Amino acid sequence: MKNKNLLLYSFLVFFVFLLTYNFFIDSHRFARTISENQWADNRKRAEQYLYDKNDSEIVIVGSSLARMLWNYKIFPRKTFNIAMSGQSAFDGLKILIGSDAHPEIVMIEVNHLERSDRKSFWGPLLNPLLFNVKKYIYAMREDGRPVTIFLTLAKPFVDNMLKYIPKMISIAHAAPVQIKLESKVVNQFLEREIQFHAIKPDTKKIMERLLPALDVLSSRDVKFVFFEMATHPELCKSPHLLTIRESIEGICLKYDCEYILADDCNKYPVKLDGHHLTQKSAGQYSIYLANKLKKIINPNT
Amino acid sequence: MLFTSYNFVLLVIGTMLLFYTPCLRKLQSIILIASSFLFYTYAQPVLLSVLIISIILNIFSSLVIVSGRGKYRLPVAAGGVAANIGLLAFFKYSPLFGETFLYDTGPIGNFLLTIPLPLGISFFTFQGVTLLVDTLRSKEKTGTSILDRNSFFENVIVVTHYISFFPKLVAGPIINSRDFIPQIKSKFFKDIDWDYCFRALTMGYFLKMVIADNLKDQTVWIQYPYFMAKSTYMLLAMVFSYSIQIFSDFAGYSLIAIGIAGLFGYTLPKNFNFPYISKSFSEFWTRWHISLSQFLKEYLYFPLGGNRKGKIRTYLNLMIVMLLGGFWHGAAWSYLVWGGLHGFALVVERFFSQRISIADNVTNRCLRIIGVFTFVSFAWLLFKLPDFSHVTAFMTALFNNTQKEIKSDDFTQLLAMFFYCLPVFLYHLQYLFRTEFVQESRLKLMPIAYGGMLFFILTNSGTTSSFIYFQF
Repeated sequence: MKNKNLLLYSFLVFFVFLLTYNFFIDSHRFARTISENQWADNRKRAEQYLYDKNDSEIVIVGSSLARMLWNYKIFPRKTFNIAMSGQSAFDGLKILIGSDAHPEIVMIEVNHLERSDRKSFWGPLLNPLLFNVKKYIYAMREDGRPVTIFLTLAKPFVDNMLKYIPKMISIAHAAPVQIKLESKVVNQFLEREIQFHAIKPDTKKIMERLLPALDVLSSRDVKFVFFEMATHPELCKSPHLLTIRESIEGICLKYDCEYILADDCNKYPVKLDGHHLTQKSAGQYSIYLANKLKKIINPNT
Repeated sequence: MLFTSYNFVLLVIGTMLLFYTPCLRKLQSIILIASSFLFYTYAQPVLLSVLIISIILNIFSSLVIVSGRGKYRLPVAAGGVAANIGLLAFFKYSPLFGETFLYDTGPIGNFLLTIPLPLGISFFTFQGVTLLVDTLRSKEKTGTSILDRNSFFENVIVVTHYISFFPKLVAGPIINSRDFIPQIKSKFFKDIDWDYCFRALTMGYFLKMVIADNLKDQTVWIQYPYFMAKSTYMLLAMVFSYSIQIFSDFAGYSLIAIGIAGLFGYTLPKNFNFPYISKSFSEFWTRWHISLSQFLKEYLYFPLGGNRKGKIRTYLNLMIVMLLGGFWHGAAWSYLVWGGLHGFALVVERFFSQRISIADNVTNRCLRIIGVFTFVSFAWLLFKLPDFSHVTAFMTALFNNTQKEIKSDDFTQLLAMFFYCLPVFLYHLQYLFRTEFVQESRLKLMPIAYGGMLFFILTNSGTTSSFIYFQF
């Protein structure tokens, strides 16, 4: 093959691949796909909201703590959770502002408001060119990535394989060692978190970021519900959270907003990392929040 | 400005339009210099002054070497090299010096800690060193130099162009002045080797955006204390994945630089040559970051005496070169240890290779490749975890977490890592088994391979991140 044809043939192959794959993936949309990592999961959530779920009446924004909230049907209205692992409520707010969405209520998790938004995250999602290209070429969305699809298809086989693997490494025999190791890891993670939460955040910076976002959204008649996520009991009473609580309660005098305090954190066990709720306790906390929200929406219930 | 950003693409297109405009042909070097400064300013406007100081230093030193009296040449060249190294040392190592020796000791220690690291300083100062040494050597040996034919103003432009040329400005490949400066002449659009540029750019962007950027999100857990919670299998997979990631990141960057330089009619040297099929450490260093290895060999190892001054001196020279090479990578003691580890491996290998001969069969070759790859991969931990205590904790977790349960999510992550590492393994394997049949098939399959890479770049790129070597 002559070299001069390489460019031409490569682009031809590229278009054939793209069109074929896009046709396949667009006509076989998977209800649930496996995310490659937490950032991919964040992008996936944001895209789902931007393209399919932007008619949600309640939108939850926050960090990985709120990302754990589950079973949206618990909530009183059509709800969508765009809380981002490793990020903060500001990324969710940017998505809401950039997408021209008009939800009735925005639930804002306050635990990690000290984190700023990441332009590298929301920039490409809200870029007008990319936004429109992805609207029509599903293969370019997070849900349509070839590796995501490959992992989704491989998932049943993986789960099947896992049934046999524990037998090989005899977990039962190793249980005491594992428990000892795990408690050591939990302590290390927790110690780090306690150190971090002992420092009061810069509330001036938080307000500089938060108030403009609230201004834009309140002009769309959005009501705000700030809420605390339950975490390790040591962290629930940290100066970090108390400082944020005080500053947010102050702004609720100006905006149409409510504040939901954390429930008794002792009731909600956390994971190995020391501060995220386990799946079960996240479910319980979702019910707690949903009940509080119902009372806010309809005080007579 | 990242090579993967839209701004960079706009910069390249804009520069190309001006560069190939016929009426501006005489200004081609100036257009490239302006673009290079814009490229640099975009990231660190204030620190452009450091680049300009480095350029002025090298312009005047080289011109004195070229046109000054013979007796001044050596002192000026030595002074110029020392000034380049001094500039690098001041900006790169002052914070480390302050942190290690003057921490909390008052204004000097605090001042040292605040010194910023100018982007690409490790590379453009080395370009300055090659310019001065090459000019001196050439003048001493032949009485002429690559800067002889030009007027003062032309020399200023040539040297500025050589040092600041933006495709190689921040992370190489390091190119000798004797190879680059002769390339500075009028360029024509019709002379662009599109095939060469297309292959370099496609492969480069694929390695960076699809492999490295996706693996980055998998290996991010090699971070204290997160790795403590991972099983041995996951930790091992992450170590090898990081090895593939760092290769894809840097080889990808180098290929993009080569492709972009090609669009302006310049040829930059190859920086990687299938490093992970190396059967020995000495072979690895002829395949990994080739332009740095060549630089260290030519401007450090040979002047130290190379292998011509006896065995002990050779071992010592190897250690010195690798220690300094390691330290050049970053301002942390772990880089020095990384260099020391590689130096030690080279010394041990040299010692035994002169005494023991190993049969050259397939099994031995495979074992040696695996051995070198494993050593190199674990040594990269010092890049990822510059704090020694974290490296120790990682190794402890590697041995202790053997009984940790493998969860479904872990398996998915393992599978994703495998998927992203696979192209790099196949890329190396096709080179290892390059029979006539493989070569012929490779040529026939090229459009499919490049079309496939374009497809993955569009549909499966990871989150944009800076190139790992930009920090050096």
